[in-house]
Amino acid sequence: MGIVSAPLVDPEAPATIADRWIGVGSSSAKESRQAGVEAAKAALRSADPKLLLVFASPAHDLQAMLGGIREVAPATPLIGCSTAGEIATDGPSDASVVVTALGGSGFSVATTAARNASADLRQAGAAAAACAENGPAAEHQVLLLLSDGLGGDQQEVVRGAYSVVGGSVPLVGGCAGDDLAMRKTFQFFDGEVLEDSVVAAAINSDAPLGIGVQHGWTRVGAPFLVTASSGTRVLALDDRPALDVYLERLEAPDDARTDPAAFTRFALTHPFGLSRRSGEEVRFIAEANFDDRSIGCIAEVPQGGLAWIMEGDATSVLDATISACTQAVDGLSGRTPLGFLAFDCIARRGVLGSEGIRDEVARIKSYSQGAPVAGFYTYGEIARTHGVSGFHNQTLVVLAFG
Amino acid sequence: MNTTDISTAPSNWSTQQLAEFLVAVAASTDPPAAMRCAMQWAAEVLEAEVAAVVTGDAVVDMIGFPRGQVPVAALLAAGREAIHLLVLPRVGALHSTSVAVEEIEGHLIVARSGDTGFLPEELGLLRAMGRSLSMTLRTLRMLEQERSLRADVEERAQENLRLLLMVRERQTALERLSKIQVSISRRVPLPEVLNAVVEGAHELLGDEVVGLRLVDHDDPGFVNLVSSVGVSHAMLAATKRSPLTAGAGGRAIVEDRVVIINDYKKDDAAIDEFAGADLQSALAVPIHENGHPVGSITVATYRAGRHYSDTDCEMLVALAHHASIALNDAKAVDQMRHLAYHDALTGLPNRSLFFEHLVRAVANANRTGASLAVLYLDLDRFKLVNDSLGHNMGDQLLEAVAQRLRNSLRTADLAARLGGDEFAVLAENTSAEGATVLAERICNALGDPFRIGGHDLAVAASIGVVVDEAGHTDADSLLRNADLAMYRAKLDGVGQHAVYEPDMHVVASDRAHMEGNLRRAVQLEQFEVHYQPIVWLASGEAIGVEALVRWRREDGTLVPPAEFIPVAEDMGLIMPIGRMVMHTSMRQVREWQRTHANAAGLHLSINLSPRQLYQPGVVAEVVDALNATGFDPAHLTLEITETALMHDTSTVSTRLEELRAVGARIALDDFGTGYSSLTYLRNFPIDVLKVDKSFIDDIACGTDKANLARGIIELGRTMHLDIVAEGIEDPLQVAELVRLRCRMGQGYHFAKPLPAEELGRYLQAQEGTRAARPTILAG
Repeated sequence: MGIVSAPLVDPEAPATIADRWIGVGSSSAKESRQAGVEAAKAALRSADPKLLLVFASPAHDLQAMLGGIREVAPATPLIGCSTAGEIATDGPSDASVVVTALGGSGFSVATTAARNASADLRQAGAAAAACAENGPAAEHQVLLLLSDGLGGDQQEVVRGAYSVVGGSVPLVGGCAGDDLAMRKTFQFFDGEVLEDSVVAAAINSDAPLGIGVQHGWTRVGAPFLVTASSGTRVLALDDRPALDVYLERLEAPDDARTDPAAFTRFALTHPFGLSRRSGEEVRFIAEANFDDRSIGCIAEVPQGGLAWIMEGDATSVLDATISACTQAVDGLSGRTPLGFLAFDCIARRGVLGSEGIRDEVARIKSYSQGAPVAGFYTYGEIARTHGVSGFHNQTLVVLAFG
Repeated sequence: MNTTDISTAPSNWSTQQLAEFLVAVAASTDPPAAMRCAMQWAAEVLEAEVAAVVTGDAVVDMIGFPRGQVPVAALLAAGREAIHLLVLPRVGALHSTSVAVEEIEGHLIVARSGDTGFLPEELGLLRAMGRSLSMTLRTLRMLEQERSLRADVEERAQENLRLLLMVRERQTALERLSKIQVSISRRVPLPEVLNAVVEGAHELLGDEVVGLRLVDHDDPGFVNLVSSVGVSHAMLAATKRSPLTAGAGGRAIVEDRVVIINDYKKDDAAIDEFAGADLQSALAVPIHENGHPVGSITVATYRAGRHYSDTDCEMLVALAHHASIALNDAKAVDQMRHLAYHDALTGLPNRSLFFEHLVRAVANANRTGASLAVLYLDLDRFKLVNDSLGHNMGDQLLEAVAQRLRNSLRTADLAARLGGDEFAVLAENTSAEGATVLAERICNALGDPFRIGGHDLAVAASIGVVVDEAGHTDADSLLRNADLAMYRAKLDGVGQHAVYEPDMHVVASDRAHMEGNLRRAVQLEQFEVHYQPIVWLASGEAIGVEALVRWRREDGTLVPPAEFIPVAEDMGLIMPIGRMVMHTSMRQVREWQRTHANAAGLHLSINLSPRQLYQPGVVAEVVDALNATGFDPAHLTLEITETALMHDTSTVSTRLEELRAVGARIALDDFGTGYSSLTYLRNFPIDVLKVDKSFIDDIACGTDKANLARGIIELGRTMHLDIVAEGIEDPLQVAELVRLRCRMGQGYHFAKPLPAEELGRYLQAQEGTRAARPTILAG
């Protein structure tokens, strides 16, 4: 697993609160390099960029796209990833490139890439978190992580990062997407297009940061006891085959009972919710095995635990959006937001639909009070603000910069 | 909607969390994993930032503080307190609580941000977590102990198994070896024992090919494959006989050591057939007989990578040793068997074997109607050699005799040594003529002198022959008859053979009688000395007497010396008789010298038998007698026969010199009858020649023999020896002898041997008729 750290921003430079900026640029150009150039140019509204965040559709020639960005900003530390849809201030889009630029003396950034993450996810998380260890301990710090959601239980990445930074540094981020193909996602680090990696940026800021986390799913009926599970697979609920219980409880449509693709689509909006001290930990249901009647999630479902079947609709999802934004803004201690980053689960997008997501982004923008918004639709969300847990499914994570 | 208060959560929330926790922790495989799992769980479940496991003085593990920034003291303090505050950088104060983990005498600490501390239910859950962690750690410890115990036991069991296998292996090996030993001691035939050895090697060493080779006795440059395993027929035919130096086995024999060949094909000495068949490795060990390598046992394999361990070598050496024992034993048995039936000295069959053969031969003859002959041999004069030269020489002589005897026989004939100097021959399918021819051939063969230890020894054999037609006579009788015939041959003389006739029984019994009588005669002093005058031929005057011993039996009959002297000699009675003769005759003649005027210088001639002469004490005896009787040695003549001179010439010569030194003269009796008469005259100190009667008989005939006699007399005169003619019986002979200038003589013409009293009268008579003694010049 390779670790690459980008050089730090000069710590001698005085930081003034005014000297911080965030810019977001997007491009729908078909030509990848051009799209990169356009988006980067639009994002770099000011001097002294400290970090470039790139969210791009995998439909693009990502290397060319990065090359275009690099033309505009050859030396700025860069992290990013492929998406299942992009979010920019103007609204959601597909097959586009969104570049977010952070700059000014009020920010200092260090970046890392941990390669071959799937070999040891925890180690990869720890390696990626190394960029947060160096440099001055600014008052406000956040570790931004982008990972390959298809590479295994991302809880391990979070745990690995936590083992390095501990409870002192909040974690935020998301899992790269591939336009729902579920085949291969990509991460960006400086001019490189990587696979199976965790890329991280430790962002130090003079001003406060706020993080909001909400999912928007509600419980359906009484909880079940997970009587048999193995890692990410749920085998039995209340001593009965998990799939049977699930389909029964939800009175699932026929096609969902027989067709795997239909099931996945159905399950997208009917996740598990694992009982936790406060709230539920939502578990995305990826697929079902019609033979052994087991259900596969993308994160561990502990045996012996209590679980609800959840459901949601556009309303609940949008309500969650509002909550998350509110939480994030609360974290700014009254300051005006400088910019928002949104990591939104594809499951929520699935519920909202194309109209719904336009609505959602508009709402986010309203809470950012006009400040730039960027983000993407993810295969998993990372947010740890308290406790030790930080990996979420079917959730919206909002990071607000003050 | 999305936040759930614990207070409204199902009452079994903590129970269910605990359940999850237990499942997770129970899956831990070692204490560190269990502790990490517990911390992670506690932190996740309670949504705490920090969790730690501490003992009294150490932070065992921790999550939540930035790497490298663990506040150890603070954590230890938090472990001691049920409630505490920990400070997390950038976060602030955390409410911390700790619960006991008894197994490690430590605590599980959980610290959480927020305004409030932990709820009772949460504390209860945490306490339960602490307890279950403790239990899990104890279980893991016990499992580990059990595991290591089991590993120990396993290892010991493995070790025991290995030992057991080793013992079993040894057991098997020992059993094999003891089986072989038993078969050796039971005198199982040697080939079987060797096969057992080879099979043992095959089983115990595991190699496919085993071969036992022994050096060919008749052709020591080659070895024979005596026993094998794993050698195909074709290979067997090709390698059954191979040069001594071939293969591992060959080297083992030649160098007398354990040989290992690991790359067989490359070895110079490899046996071609085996090298061609891709034999890979071989181990060979020599086999010994009486300490010398006489063979080898080889194990070999076609498998690659065979390494012959020390144990393998020891095993094969042990097996080879057993083969050696078997060989030595077999040889010993053979030797014993041979010894039981063969004479140790000459290697000829002994009496027992000869008798067995004779019995079988008689049965065969009975069945087939063929005739067979038995010859009984007795060596003449052997006792002479034994006594004079010692038993060592005697043994060597016997060996030589046996060899010549063997060589003079046909292949089918059987020679045996019956003991002492007696031999026997069994000639089947032999007629009387054939038997006689055989006897003559043997006589001739034994007639030439034997050269033993620098001496020329002449032994002749008296041979008794008995021929039996068609097995009509039993074996015992045959032997007895042959013996009788032999006695007869002995009586006939030296080197004679005689064919059995039924009347020999009489002679034999006579002889047996004679022996007994003779012994008694010595005790009873039945011997007398008679005297025969030796006269001047010219005047007839007695100048001396020859003392002759006579045996007067109880019934008054006189037994002539020819009859009893040989017997006396065989019986070892000759010395006492000789002593008696010396003393008696010296005393007697001395008396005559004193009492008869014309006998003042009367000479005395005493016969010394060869046996007497060879006795070292004979000179002392003579001196003793001279002293005892006061006889003047100048008047003594000791007569010896030519036979006496045939053996050990140097000893005899010395003795004669010694006797002469005493003052006596030496006379050679029966001169002319022996083989080397002239040589004797040259080599020995002789003073007197006594010409044998046979020459005197013819002296007046005017024949060649007469010339011969004359020649002898001339010879004697030329050599300045006194000549005495023996056996003169008529005046013609006297006249001729005088003419030939032979001066002295004796014989019946003058007087036969007379008892002392009669000779005294004879001397008396002579006095009266004495004429002037002529002086005859010896010229």
